[in-house]
Amino acid sequence: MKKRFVLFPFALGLVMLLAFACGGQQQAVLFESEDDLPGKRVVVQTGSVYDLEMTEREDIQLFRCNTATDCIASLVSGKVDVFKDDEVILSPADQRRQGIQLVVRGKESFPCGFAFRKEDVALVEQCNAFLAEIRASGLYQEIYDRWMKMDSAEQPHIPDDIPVYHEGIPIRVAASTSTAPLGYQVGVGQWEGFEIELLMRFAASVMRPLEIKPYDAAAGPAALQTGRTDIWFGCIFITEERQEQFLFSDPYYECHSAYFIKRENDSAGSGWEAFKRSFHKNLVEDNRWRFIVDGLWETLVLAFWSLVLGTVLAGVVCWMKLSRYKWLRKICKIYISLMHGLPMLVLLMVMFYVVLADTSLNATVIAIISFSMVFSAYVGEVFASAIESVGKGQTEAGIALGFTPVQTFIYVVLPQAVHRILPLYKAEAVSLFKNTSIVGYIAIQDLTRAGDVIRSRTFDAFFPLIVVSVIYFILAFLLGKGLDLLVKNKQS
Amino acid sequence: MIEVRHLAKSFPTPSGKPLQVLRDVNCTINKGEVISIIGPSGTGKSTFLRALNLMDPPTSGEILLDGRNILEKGYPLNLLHQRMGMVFQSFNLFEHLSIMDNVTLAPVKLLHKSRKEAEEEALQLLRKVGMAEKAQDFPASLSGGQKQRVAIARALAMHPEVILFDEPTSALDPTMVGEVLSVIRQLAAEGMTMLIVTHEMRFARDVSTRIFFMYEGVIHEDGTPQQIFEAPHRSATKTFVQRIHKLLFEVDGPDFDFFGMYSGLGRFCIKYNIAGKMEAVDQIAHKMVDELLVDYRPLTVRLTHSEQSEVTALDFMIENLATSPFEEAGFDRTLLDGVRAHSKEIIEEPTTRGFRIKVLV
Repeated sequence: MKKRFVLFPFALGLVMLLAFACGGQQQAVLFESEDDLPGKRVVVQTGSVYDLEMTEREDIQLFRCNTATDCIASLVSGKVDVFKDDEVILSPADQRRQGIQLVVRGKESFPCGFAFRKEDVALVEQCNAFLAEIRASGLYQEIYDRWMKMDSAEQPHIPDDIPVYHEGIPIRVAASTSTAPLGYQVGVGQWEGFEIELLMRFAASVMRPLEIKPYDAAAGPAALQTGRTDIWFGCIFITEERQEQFLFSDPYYECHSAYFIKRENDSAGSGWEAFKRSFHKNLVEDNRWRFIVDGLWETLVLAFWSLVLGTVLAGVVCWMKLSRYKWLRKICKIYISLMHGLPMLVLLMVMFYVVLADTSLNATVIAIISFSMVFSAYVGEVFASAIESVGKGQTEAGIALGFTPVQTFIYVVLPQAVHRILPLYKAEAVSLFKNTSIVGYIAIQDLTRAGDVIRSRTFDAFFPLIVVSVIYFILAFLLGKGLDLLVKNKQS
Repeated sequence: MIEVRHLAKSFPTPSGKPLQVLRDVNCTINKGEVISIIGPSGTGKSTFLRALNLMDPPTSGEILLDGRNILEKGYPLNLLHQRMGMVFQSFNLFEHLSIMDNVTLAPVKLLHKSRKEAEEEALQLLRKVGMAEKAQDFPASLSGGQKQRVAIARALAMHPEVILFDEPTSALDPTMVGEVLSVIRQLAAEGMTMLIVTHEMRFARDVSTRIFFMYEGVIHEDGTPQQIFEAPHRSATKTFVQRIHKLLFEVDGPDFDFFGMYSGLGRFCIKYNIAGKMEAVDQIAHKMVDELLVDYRPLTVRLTHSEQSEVTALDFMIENLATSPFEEAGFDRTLLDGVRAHSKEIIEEPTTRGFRIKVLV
């Protein structure tokens, strides 16, 4: 057993090195103007303006990714030829670093604004007043120059003289951007970028704290509509369609579209060299390993409490299922079939955006509740069938000896039931642990999301994913072993 | 020691009409008595036993244990069970515990004995039932007979004042019945108070001080083994202890299903292992019904067989007749020779309702 334990991560590592050794030797794509589009494989962000635009074209092969990072990753890995997005999606310095290049600037341009809920008129007015004021004072130009002309190897920073308020109702903002220069994380909860600086200054001007949560472009509108957040930003174009649903601030930026292609590889380097470089870039540089550590902690907290609460709830489900009252059994049956019939992710979103939307519970608590509910439905059934399988006869024998029903359960039924429960419980626990990887959808930065954040900074499709997989694998393995040990100890 | 008054128990059924299993059970059980409860299936023997220790609480009635009604609210059931041990048909050993732990679990947890003390005593009890050498084995590796002996030791470990045996040998191979009965016999010899629901008649007769014959939800007859087995007062008891089986037909005229009757008689012979008498039964019945008694209708034909005495008899009964039809003027008694050839004896006798001709096959 021990041998295999060492072997798996080792094998994963090997796969990783091999992929580095043979990766990235595609031919350069010819793309000099928009006329070159026909026949090309084009990638866009799901739900973006370019998605709508490109969907109408029949002379291209269209691909969609949820984040800019994924789009860039598919471009770099040669899965697509062209990536169409906002020109500001990547600073020239980042483009060079990633080995991609802005080849053509699109003809169209769009005004960008902050999106607000319709009823938040007062906040919009405050924001517009703020924008007008900084334009007049010249501060806007200074900010613009700092970020939009970001071409040097040295990264700009938000000046640290902006006052930060901790008292009062926070302005909650949903960031649908993870790339420089608009808005990106350099450390856990440490944001930088053009839009971030604007928001920080705005929050300071109204003397309220600022809370930034990352949401996918697709999840942003939902977060805003359900009141999970007050402002949605990330180069959001002010379109008529969106204006029907949201209020927009005055535009603070005119965004052009652009086409990116992959630059020809100048130095591929040996597999080992490339690996070392990736390791440095993804984990060491800027202390990026901190994202992994923090994400891991979040994942562990989620998994642990979901497991604890889920097991307790499973006990309740089991008790209801074995109850002599028909109505309790009925409720239990409905609950179980509901939990079985809903995809985990859908349930999580429903809980977050609908059922518990009006509560003050934070996302982590809601995730724990959702996971424990699903876990309890499966495991509660396992408990019940294990208890039933011990047989009425032994319970009767216990009672006939003079044990109370509760004592009989503890000394006779439970030890045997645990034995039967363990394999299934273990499987469900590991699957619960792995399922926590979807919490990124409700803006929790868990281990998976930590990998995404690193990827959005380094545009390395490969390395962060492998690191994250290896960690998940080892933890899942340890969790299984740990549960085995726990029960073995109890029995001896 | 135990007094049972007007005990009744009914089970709910899906049809809504409750099934009355125990109607009115009354009895007194004294210390040191070994009582076997016998009777046909479905007459409430096990239900009575399980009602007695409230495993399936009775619907009404009283059970007085040393003068106190255990059906009163708040009677400590766990203490009741410690005084009243039970051995089940299906053994019900704790599958996850060794034989030793099966026996010591309750004394350690409930009587708060030290592990060492409990194990020493358990070993003695296991020795008594011949299972000491298997003390460290698990139930799954034992035969049925061995499991039941361990179950008895487990019940004894709590020092109960009375042990209830619920068909202790019914789930066993015939080859294993003996070893379990020997153990119970030994307990009886030691003066243990016991109630045993059993189908082992010879055992019940040998070991018991008293027999309850249960029939249709009541104790139909209560007496010594001699009384019950040799001179039962009541006919249901007799039918049961002599294991008498009956088949009855009423031949009422030419429309009667004669073929059905003859094949029914044949099946009866096969069912009760007297296929050797099938030919004789068939011949006698044909001769009597179709020839000799053809003028007598309605005619009641009854085939009986006692498994105990192995006596098989065919009765032909004619109502409202005072004298034998064979005594009538002009009847040629040589015609009876055909019947006599197949029978041991022919008895002609008047009864309260008419006249009966009994042919012993």
